Amino acid sequence: MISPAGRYDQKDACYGRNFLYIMRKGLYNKSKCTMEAENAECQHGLRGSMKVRKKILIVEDNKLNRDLLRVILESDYEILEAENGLEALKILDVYKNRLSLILLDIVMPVMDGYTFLGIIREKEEYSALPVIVVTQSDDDTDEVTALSRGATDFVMKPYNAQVIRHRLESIIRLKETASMMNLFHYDRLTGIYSKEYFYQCAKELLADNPDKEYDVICSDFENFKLVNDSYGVKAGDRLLRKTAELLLRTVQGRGLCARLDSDQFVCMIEHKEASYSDELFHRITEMVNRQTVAKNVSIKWGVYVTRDRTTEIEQMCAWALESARSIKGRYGKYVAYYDDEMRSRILHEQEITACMEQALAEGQFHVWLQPKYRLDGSPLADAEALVRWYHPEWGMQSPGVFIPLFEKNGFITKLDLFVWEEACRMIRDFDEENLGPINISVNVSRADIYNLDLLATLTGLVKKYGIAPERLHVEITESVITENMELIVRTVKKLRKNGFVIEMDDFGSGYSSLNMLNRMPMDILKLDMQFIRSEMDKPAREGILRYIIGLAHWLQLDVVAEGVETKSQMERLKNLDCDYIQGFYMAKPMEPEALEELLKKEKESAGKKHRIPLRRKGDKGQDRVLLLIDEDDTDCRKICDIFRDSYQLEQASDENDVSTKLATYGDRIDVILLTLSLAKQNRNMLWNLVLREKKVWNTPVILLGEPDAVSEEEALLMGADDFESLLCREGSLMIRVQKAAERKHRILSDPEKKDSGAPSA
Amino acid sequence: MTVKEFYDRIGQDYIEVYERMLGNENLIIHFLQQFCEDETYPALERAVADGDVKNMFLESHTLKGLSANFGLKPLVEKTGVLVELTRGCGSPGSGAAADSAGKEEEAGDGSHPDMENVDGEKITETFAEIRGCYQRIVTQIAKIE
Repeated sequence: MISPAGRYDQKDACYGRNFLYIMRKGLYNKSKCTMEAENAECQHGLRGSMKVRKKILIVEDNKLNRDLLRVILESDYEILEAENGLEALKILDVYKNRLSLILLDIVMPVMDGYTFLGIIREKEEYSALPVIVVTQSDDDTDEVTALSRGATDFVMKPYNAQVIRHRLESIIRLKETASMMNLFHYDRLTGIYSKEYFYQCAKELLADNPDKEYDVICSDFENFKLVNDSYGVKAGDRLLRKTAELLLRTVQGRGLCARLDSDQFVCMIEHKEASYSDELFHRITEMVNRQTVAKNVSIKWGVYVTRDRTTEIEQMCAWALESARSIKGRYGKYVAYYDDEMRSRILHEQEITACMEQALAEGQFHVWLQPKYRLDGSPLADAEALVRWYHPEWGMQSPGVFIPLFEKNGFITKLDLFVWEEACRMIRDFDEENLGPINISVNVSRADIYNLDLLATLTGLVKKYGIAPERLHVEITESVITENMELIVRTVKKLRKNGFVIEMDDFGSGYSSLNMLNRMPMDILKLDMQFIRSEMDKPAREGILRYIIGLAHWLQLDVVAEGVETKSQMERLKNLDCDYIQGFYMAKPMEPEALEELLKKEKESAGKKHRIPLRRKGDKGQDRVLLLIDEDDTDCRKICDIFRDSYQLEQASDENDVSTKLATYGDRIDVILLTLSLAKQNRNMLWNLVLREKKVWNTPVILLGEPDAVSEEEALLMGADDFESLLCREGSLMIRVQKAAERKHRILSDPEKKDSGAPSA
Repeated sequence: MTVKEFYDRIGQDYIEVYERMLGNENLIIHFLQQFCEDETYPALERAVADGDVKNMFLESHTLKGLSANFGLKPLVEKTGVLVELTRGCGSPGSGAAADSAGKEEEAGDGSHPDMENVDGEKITETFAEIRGCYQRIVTQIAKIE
């Protein structure tokens, strides 16, 4: 018989609790064996009804005994009843692990208590369920038998209400504490030890065995995120579970295994004198791959030998992990030991971290520039900004060491801000010294994209130094792009819309796809130096470089080859139609002063050659226009030569021409160049026409005339934005045109200034 | 007769029962009256009449437990004797443990082969004592006010 209370019903429970309430208050009418429960308030029941009560199963064949136990326990627990072991099993199947405890009689018909106990102890899901056996023998035989068959405890008849209540309470509390400890001890996903419990056990193991050495072996998946992204989180979880199972089997009870963090595991076993081989860990990785749908998992392993017992276990694991990370990306290398070299490196990194802020504040970081040369021999127009660190004690620090470290700890953003500002300042300084225009590209790190409002920051900087956005190129590496394409695409679109030029750096170093090339808005492709070198090692007919460059050109991208070290590489790249090269062969990174000297020398020897900077190509229709109003063919040709690659040049020589051009190109005209003599003809007719255009579009006008002060004064009094001599050097004219265009763009982007429409005097 | 007087009459320490039963006299009275209507004694009587040693053990074991719970000391002692006399013929783990189907005895002629293994005379004598004790207790319980 299953008691109706087995199907919990608030009314029944209320009735039962009210019975107890009545009995306790002595309201029971003993002569009539009736109760006044129907009319009594169920206060006790109402008070208890909001709590979730623990469930107890009473297995006892005699109803009177069950009733007595119910009375004793019902105030604190929800009671389920069964009159034999078989009925009890049915209730267990329904409630499973929702029961807190079983009170079990032994002598029962159908199925006795021992048989029931034997059955449930074989089932894993009930193995932790406390069972208190109720005995009544005078000796301890029954108790010993009950405990040996898996009972948690026993109580004896006659029932003592207080004893039963306290016994149940403490056993249930112990069980719940044990369950909580279980959660604390074991990782929920994999079932092996949790990190904290591993630390605790490892400490005990080390303390108990002071003379033994152990290997702390940590694993780190190289590309776990890719597994989740490609196959889903469930597949990733399964991979982790299978890895844990494999580690447990491999350790075979000879050590400890735990999950340290998301995709990091640790094992601790007795030290093996012979070093672990790459082959061993390669085999383990292959076994992991065979067990999951993700077949291209790569795992790196790091080993720390516990020789120095003053080191905390947490630090040992950190160093083992660091060892694993040190070989990430190295094909064929699966395991690395933490050794003195690595220790030195880590200590040095800690020292770097300790002094990096101060180093920045004290000006220990410097920006050097490495030129990018056009392969047709044109004068230098572009350079990349590279950071250098002169430590007062350590000397020159390798960017290969501190840059990755700063990217890990986030300091890279502060450093990048410094580099960007320096680059802007240099662009302005080169202009002011008449050495420009030189564009400088700066690197943008992964952290910058997440931590900064990149557009606001860069726009603020170019405004501060009065330079056009297109002068400060933004280099983003291929690996950053493939990580979070959507975010990068959004960011880059905003930057380009505001005039910045985007260079994709290190193309060919990662796992880029044609889709990425298609979707990513960019202007220049920089080919990774390793990729270039590996291509240069192949015979020309076997390389794919030709096709990469062709594809880039088809996408209207200029191509820069990085890391060019020899003449033969340069020649080959030239034959492959590469646009620019950057590398030691042409020029190493140099201090700004050295570049300044280089530019000065170049200026003297450049002759009529003009700079062709890296720039966005885009559709012809979207090119900026330079309107030249001049009747002298010689002058026109000279000016066209200067600006051929940087503007769409339109010429006009009379009023009709000018009107047509103004109507056609409107605000696409960046600057109007007009000779003074033509402007003054027909009572300034052309000039007035141009002035009207100025008012509408804020288009700057530079008057060209004889190289004398009178002409200059006249031009400025007429209202020209600037004046330049017809005999000027091309660099001077280029700078004036560029500055005038920049002023126009600034005005157009500033709503207050845009509406004034007044010509600048 | 009060509850205390009842327990005095049967030689049981009333305070011991009172404390075990949550200090609630009404609870004691209720369960004493329920004891009088419980089917365990009648079932034991039938088992003895039938010579069903297995059920003699089960019912006497239950009756002993009930008696102990409600402080019926004389009955505890006497049923304890019967339990030991019949133990091994139906007790759990004795090889004659109850199966899940509650099968009937195997003998076709109505006798219980296991009666041969017990002291029948002693059982009869003990049960007679139990009967007398039970009837006295039930009579006394009826007089409790």
